[in-house]
Amino acid sequence: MTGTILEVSQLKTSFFTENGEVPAVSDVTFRLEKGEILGVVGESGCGKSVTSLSIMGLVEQPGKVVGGHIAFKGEDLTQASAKKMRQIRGNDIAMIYQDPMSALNPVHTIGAQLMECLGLHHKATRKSARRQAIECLERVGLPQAEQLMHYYPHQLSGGMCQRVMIAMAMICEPEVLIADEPTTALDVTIQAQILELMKTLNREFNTSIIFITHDLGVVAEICDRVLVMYNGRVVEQGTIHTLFKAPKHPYTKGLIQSVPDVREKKQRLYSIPGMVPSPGEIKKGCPFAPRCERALAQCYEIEPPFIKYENGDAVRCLLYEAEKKEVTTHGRIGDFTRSPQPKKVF
Amino acid sequence: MRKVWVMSVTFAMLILLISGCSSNGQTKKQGEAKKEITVRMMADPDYLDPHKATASLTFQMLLNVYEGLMKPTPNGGVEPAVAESDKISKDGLTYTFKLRKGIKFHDGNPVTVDDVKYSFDRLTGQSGGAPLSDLSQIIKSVKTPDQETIVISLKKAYSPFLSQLTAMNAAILEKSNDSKQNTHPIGTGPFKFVEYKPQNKLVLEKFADYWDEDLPYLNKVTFSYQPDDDAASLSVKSGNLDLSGVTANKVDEVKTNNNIIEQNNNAVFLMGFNNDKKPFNDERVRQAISYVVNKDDVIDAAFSGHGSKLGSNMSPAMGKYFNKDLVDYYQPNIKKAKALLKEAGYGNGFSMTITVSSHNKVYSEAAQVIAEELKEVGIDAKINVIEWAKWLDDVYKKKNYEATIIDFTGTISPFEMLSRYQTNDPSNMMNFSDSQFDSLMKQAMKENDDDQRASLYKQAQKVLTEKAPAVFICDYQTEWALNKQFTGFKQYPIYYLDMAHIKPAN
Amino acid sequence: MLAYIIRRLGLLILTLVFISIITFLVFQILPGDPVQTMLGPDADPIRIKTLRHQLGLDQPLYIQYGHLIEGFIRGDLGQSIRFSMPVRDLIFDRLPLTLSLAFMSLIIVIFVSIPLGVIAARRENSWGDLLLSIFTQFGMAIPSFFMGMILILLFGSVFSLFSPGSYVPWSEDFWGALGSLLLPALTIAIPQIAVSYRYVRNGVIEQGQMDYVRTARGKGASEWKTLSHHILRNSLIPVLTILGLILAEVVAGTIVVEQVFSLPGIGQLLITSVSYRDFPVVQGLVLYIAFVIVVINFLVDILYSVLDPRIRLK
Ligand SMILES: Nc1ncnc2c1ncn2[C@@H]1O[C@H](COP(=O)(O)OP(=O)(O)O)[C@@H](O)[C@H]1O
Ligand SMILES: [Mg+2]
Repeated sequence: MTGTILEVSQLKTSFFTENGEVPAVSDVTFRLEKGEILGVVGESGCGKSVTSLSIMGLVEQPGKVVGGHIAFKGEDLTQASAKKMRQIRGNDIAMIYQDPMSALNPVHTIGAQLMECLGLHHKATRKSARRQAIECLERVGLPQAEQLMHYYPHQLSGGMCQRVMIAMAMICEPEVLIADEPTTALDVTIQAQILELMKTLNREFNTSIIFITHDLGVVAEICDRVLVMYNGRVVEQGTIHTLFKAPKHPYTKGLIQSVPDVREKKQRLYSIPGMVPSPGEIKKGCPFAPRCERALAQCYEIEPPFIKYENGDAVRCLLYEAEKKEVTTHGRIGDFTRSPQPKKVF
Repeated sequence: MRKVWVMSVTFAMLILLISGCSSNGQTKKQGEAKKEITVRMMADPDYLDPHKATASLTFQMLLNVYEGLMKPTPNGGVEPAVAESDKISKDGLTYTFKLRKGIKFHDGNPVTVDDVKYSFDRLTGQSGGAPLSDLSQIIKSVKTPDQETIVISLKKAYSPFLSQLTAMNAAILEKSNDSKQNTHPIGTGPFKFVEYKPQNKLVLEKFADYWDEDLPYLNKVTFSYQPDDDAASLSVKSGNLDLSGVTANKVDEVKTNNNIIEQNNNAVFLMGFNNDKKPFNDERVRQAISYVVNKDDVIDAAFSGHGSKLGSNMSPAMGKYFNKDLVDYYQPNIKKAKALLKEAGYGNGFSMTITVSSHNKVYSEAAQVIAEELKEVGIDAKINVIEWAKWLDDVYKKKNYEATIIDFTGTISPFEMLSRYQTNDPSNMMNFSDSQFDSLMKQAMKENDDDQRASLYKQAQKVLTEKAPAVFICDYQTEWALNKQFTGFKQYPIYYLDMAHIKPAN
Repeated sequence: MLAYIIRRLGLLILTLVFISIITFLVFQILPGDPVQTMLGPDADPIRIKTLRHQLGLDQPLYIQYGHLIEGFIRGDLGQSIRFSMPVRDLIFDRLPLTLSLAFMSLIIVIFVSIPLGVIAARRENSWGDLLLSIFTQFGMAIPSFFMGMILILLFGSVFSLFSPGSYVPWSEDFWGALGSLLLPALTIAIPQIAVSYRYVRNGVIEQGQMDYVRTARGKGASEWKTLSHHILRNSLIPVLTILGLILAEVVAGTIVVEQVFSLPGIGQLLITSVSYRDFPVVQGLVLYIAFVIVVINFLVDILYSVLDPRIRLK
């Protein structure tokens, strides 16, 4: 089961605030293959959420997708009607969010919120919708699903809520699932369980998952491929393997260095020096240059091109321009096959 | 979002629809044949039982339901009602009445002499209960020698007695209805009682067996509660009220579909002094103030100019009992006023308080004009506006005041109008005491000759004017608006809306 | 739940006893006599004395109060002095008017303020929103008697659509009753619309930014569905908190507005009875109003727990 399901190219999303245009996402290009788990990493504020909301068509005022294309199964979502988008949302592309407690409506029961999704997309009878919802709750590993249907969000723990959210996202069996930092708000053991669950769902339903996180450790655990974002741009992309083994972009290197390693028990963690610039703050050259240890004089002058490699990896850095094999923004990214590694859930 | 709009628009249309409907309702009413009339009720009756009731506004309505042996006439006199005729003995102590033949109560029962006796006994407390009326101090006995004769003996000669025998003072009630007089009124008048809802309406309907076969013309009379003047004139304009008093400034607005009838109220609007209290115990001070007050200014301010000036405690509506020479006795004269004040030892003026009730704004409006004028002679008058109940308690009952502004509503008895100035009268709220006045009143009470009596009353009025227990200001007028579809409005010198003579125009 | 109801009932009785004593004390201080006030200065003193005796008004006040309380315990509210009628009859006679007036006002408040609030929230900071803010600011500032007079003038004098004091009961003429109650109800409602509108607007704006709204949209729910099903119900929770207050204001509003529009309701009876020192009626009415307010609060509490599952009655 391969093939591209979602293709984002040169996406640009801006917020038009009182202080002028804020380009939250200024140049994002990537492909999502069928059945893969694509990790998106980057420091907070680099545009991960805005990217995913852009795909969902949920960017709110005063934000707007101002450029680029989002092709879902060949259809450009940036041009799709509001009605078409409603049909796609929840049914074909679903999303789960960082804070599961606040992402559930406090005044409706879990059951009602689960079944709403079915009601919107499938003309299911109440009875069959109920059965499906219960099944779905069971599938995400929630005990006593029947009773749970009548519970309200405030009666559940954070981990349970996130499972409900996952169940809700999966109930219409979407082809793409966007998980925006789904484990950030949860404690470590729960986090591991949720990751397991997502892996299983990915395997069982062949759902493509965009997994957003600022935690490289999590990426290493479940992703097939990774996008590294910085200041609204994709700065590097590659398979788990190449990225962790041989990171190219100085930013990626910095990120990997700052992952705490349990075995080495370092006294102090490495952290990338300097402050994260706000979007649009750096007008000229590479936005990472001021924090980059290897920055060249021209890095402050020239915006680096997106250099793509034949194996599908890519990097946005002047340091690699000399050894580039191909410089094209629309170049074909090599096929990617992942090794199946069956694992039991829970 | 669209549905929100739809909802709002629907709601707006609903409002329009409803206001449309309510105006439709009104036009329908106007189209009907006018055998029914709606009359404004300014205030609720105090009691429906006429022996308990006192308020003039109550009798304004209930005189259509009840009758006494006598009933009032438009010229201020009385004529037989439940009685067919009357005879007074020479010494003025015995009154003999013949019961009207065939007269019936509203429930169909004939009126008997027993009912008449019962009515008087109830008033005077002869039947066990406490007396309800000061007739108990006048009447010695009521006897019924046969089935059609009533003989009333008095304790002493009391010339105004006949005028005390209308339903206002001595309504004839049915004995068998004793415990229900207040909830189920039964009388002998041209209209019978249908229902009363407090602060809403009092409904009367035609009494088919009324002894005067020509009356009444109308089938139904509804007194509709409307305490507010402005609201009342709106209702008159829209045709929801057919008969109502309107304030002078609204007359033009309602003229198109209403006839305006101007009526003297036989009331006395005055500023009374506490004649016991310094400095008002000095008649020169009271006279001085009488010279200061410009009655025309007060009439303009409080009644928009609709009032007749008075010189004493009697209105021109009382006809031959009214002493017209007194009206201009005190012309505004600051010089004279100052001289009188100086004589009395108040050359530099003094300060005083005028206490008035808030239940009608005419009192405070008048007080403001007067206070302003009093400044000219150095009198600093403060105005204290209090609630009606408090006024009755403080001013009327406890006589704890210096000066006040009030109006006394008239009766058809000139004696009653003047009686409160007698030294020992229980309603002498001004603490007035004058031996000459007292003796004139005593003489009048005994005098049988009407002309002689009139002359005595005139003299008594003159004493009041000279001694100035109050500044007698005016009798104000009521502007009645009567729907042009009706005629037959009769004026009485008392509060009586005679509905029996009202009939559809043409 | 049972414990809750029992506690509420206890509170109700305590409130009523307290209020009854306060009313009694106030009447002891107030000058004025009911019979004299009713009959006025032209009254025959003998008649006044007799009537006072018949009504038991010549007895000491604490004995009169004792009789009243004794009556209450038997379920008898006593006899009005001014109207010589059972207090219960007087109150029940007026209840339909006042209740329908209050109910109509409430309906108007709900049906106007919610759509208005939602529209304003959806068009936040637009100029319609700004205009509405100004209007509602006015609406809150204008005292209701004044508002009533303006409405009478406008609809009565200028458009001749309405005539005050022409109230007909529902049983006699449905549309007529509706017509004669509409303006008074509007008068009561307008300031409350302003209050409620602000809560709805702010609630919708605030709730519109919540994560669960994004979730709903993410499921593919339409704008209308998101609004009606998700945002609105959450935004109404704070509105409900003030609904109790609004209802109390509406009940208080009927008192003033019945006076302005000459409607024979509870409010008019109350004002008349106070000015005539008709203690039994005032006592009965004050207890009635206290009772209504306590019951309203109870209902609001229940509604609150229905609307917001996080709240459970304790
Ligand atoms: N509603 C908004 N108005 C203005 N700027 C916004 C808004 N939402 C996001 N941004 C900008 O977009 C940038 C990217 O935000 P986001 O995608 O949420 O970052 P993250 O990678 O942490 O998910 C932020 O730095 C912020 O400045
Ligand atoms: Mg984010």
